[in-house]
Amino acid sequence: MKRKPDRQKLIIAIMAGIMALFIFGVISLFIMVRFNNTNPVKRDARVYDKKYAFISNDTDDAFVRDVYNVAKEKASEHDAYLEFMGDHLSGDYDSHALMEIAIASRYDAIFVEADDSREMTSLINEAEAEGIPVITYMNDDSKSNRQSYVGSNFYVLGMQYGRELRKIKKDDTVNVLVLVKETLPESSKNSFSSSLMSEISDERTQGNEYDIDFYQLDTSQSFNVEEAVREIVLYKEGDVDVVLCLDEITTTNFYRALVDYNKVGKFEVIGYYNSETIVQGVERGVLKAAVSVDATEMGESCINAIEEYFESGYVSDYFSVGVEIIK
Amino acid sequence: MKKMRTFFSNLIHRMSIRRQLLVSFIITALVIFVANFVIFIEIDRQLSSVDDVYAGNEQNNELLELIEAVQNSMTGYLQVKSTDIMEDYYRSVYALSEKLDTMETPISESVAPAARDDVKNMAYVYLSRADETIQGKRGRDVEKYSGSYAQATELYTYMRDAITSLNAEQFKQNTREYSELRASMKLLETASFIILALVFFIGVFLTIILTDRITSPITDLSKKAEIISTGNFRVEIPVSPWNDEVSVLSNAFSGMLISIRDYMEQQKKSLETERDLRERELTMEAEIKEAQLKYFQAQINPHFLFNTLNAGMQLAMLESAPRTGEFLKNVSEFFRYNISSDKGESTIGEEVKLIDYYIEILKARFGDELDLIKDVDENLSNVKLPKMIIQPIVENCVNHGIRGIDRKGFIYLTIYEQKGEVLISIADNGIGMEKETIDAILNGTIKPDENNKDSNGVGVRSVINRLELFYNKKDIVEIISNGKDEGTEVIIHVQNNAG
Repeated sequence: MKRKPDRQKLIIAIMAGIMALFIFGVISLFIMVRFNNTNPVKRDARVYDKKYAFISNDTDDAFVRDVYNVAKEKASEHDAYLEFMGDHLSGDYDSHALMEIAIASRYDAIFVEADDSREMTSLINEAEAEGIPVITYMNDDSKSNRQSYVGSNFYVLGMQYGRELRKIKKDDTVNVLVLVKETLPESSKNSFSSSLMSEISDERTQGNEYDIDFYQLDTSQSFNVEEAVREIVLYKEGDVDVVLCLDEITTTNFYRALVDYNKVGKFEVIGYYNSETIVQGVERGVLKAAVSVDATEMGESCINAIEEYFESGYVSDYFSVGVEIIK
Repeated sequence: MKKMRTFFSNLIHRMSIRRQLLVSFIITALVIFVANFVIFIEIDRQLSSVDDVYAGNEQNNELLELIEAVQNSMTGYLQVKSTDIMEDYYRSVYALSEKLDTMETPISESVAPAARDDVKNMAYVYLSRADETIQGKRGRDVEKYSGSYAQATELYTYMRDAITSLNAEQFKQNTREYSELRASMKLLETASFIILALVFFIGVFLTIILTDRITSPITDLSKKAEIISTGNFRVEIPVSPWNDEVSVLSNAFSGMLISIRDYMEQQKKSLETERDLRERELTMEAEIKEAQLKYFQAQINPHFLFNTLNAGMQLAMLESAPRTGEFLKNVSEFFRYNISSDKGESTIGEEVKLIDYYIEILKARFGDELDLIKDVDENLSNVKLPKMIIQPIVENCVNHGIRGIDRKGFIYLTIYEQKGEVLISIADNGIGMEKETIDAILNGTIKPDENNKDSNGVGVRSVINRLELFYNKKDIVEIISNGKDEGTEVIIHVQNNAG
C-alpha cells in the first residue's frame, strides 16, 4: 500500500543490499576456498628438459649441500634438473651404487665426488661409454674419462694449510695430524702433502720442526668419523699439537668434541669450510682458522662446465675454485 | 542504478501476491541450489585430489608388481628351466614393456615423476640384462648369465628401493597433503555453513517482508472496516500502487465506500427537498386557511349571506329592478367564488371572471368613476395559479391607488405570454407608490391594514407568499411605479402550465 512508500523503498533497498552482499559473500568465499587450497598434488611442478645427477660420498656435508644447491639453481637456468642422488632412496648407497643407478637411469650428466678406486674409474668410463658426460668435483679421478674436474687444487689447499701451520711454533717438534677421508684420492693427498711440506720447509730451515702425520678416516659407516675424532680428542692430547681437518664434517666434529670434552686449547685446529658452526668455532677461538673453498663458485662451475661441454663438445679439463682463509 | 531500482520497484508493484510468493520461493530455491552446487563442486574437486594422491601409489605398486613378476620368472627360469616359466617370463616382460611404454615421466622437480623416470630408464636396462640372462641360460653360457643375472638383480634391487622409497616419500607427502586437505575441507565446511546460514536468513527475511506485505494491508483494511462499522464513513482508503489481490480488494473496498457515501449524500438531499416541499405545502395550506378564516371572521355565515343575496336577487327581479338584481348576482357570484374550497387552485379564466364581478360591484358603489380595461389572451384562460391572486391586487389598486383621485380611475388588466412566461399585469392610473413602499411590500416588512373595511382581508403580502410557495421561486411579483400620480403596475410572472 502506498501509505508507507519510504518503508517500501527501504525494504527494496535492504533486499537489494542483502542480495548483493550475499552474491559478494558467495563469490569471496568461493575464491577464498580456491586460493587457500594449497593442495600440492595440483600444484604445477616445473618440467625440465634434462636431468643431471649429483653424487657425493657424504650427503650430510654442509659444504656439499651448498655446492649442490648452487648448482641446482644454476642448472635450472639451463632447463635442467639436478638430482641429489640417493636423497629419495631409503637404502644407504655409496657413490659407486649411486653411479650405477644414475647410469641405468640415463641421466643426461653426472657430477661425482670421485675417489681413488678402480671401480669409480670404471663406472665413470661406463657412463662416458653410455654417452653420459661425467664431471668430477672436490676430488678428481684423473685416470678416468671424465670430462672435467671442478674443485680446489689440493696443492693450493696444502699451501693454505701450510701458511696457517707456519704460524704455530713450538720449542720442540710440532706434531701435526692431518685428518683425511680414506676416499680422498692418493694423488690429491700427495699434492696436498707436498705443497704443505714445501710451505713449512722455510720454517724448518729456521729450526722449527714439524712432524706431519696423516690419519685416514673410515667413512664407510656413518658414525666412524665421530668415533675417530673422539678417540683423538680424548687420547691424543699431548701427542698431537695441531690438527688439520680437510672436510666440513670432520671439522664440525672436532669443534664439538673439543667443547664437549672440555679440551679447548689443547689442540690447534685448522678446519675446512665456512659453515655457520665452523665460523662460530673460529670466532670463539676454539678453531684456529678454517680454509674455505668457495661453494658457490664450485656449484656454478660444475654447471658451466657441463653446459660448455654440451654446447661445444669440449670442455676444460680443470676448473679451479678459489680458496680463502677464515680467522 | 536509479533506473534499475525503478525497474525493480515497478516489477514488484506489478506482481500479484501469488507471483511474488512464487518468485521469492524460486529465488530462495535457486540460491540454495547454486550454493549447494558450488559446495558440491568444491567437495568433488577436493575428493579428486585425494584420488590423485592415491593414484600415484597405485601406479607405483603396479609397476613394482610387474618388475617383481619379471624378476621372479627370470629367477625361476634359472632355477628350473621350464617352458611354463619361460612363458611366464615373456608374459611378464611384455606386460612390463607395455607399461613402461605408456608411462609418461616428465623431468620434474617433484619427486614422483623424477623417481618414476629413473625407474623407467632402469627398467629398460633391467629388461635387456634379463634378456641377456635368459639367452645365456638357454645357451648354457653360465658365465654370461651369472653376470647378467647379478647386474639385473642389482638393478631390480635399486628399482624396488626406488619404488618403495617413492611410496614412502609419497606417503609422507600425502600425510602432509591430507592435513592440508583437511584444513581445506574445514574451510569449506565453514564456508558452506556461512552460505547456508545466509540463505536461511535471507529466506526468513523474504518471508517476513512478504507476509508483512500481504497481511499489513489486510490488517489496515480490517481496521478501516471497523471504523466504518461505527458509522464513520469519512475514512480515507488510499489507492494502492501494487497490483496484487489485496490491492484489488482494497481498491474495491475503497470504491464501495465512495459509492455508499455518494448514495447517502443523494438520499440526504432528496429528503431535504421532500421536507422543503412538504413545508411549502403546509405553509400554503395555512395561508389559504388563513384567507378562508378571514371570511369566517366576517361573522356572517357565508352560506346564509349567499342565500340571502340570492333571495334579494329574486326579489329585485319580482320588483322589476333589474340593475339591483344584476348587482346582487354579481355579489353572489363573488362570494360563491370566495367560499368554494377547491384546494386553493384556480385558473386565469376564473380569476378574470372574479375581477369582472368585483368591478361590477364596485361600479355600483362608485359609478362611472372607475373602469376596468381588460386585455386578456384567451389562450391563457386555463393556466393554473393559486386562488384569489388577482382580486386582492385589483382591490389594492382601488383602495390605495384610485380612491380619492379627482379624475376617472382606470384599472388595466393585461394577461399575455412572453418568453414562455405568462405575465399578469394589473395597473392603475392612481396616486402611485414610493420606492420605499414598493420595497417594503416586496420584502414583507409592511403590515397589512387590518382595519380596512373595504378590504376582503387578503393582503398583497399573502398573495406574494402564496405565489412563491406555489411556484417555489422568488421574484414572481414586481411592482412598478414612476412616482406620484403616475399610477402603479403590478406584474405577476407565472409559468404556463396549461399544457
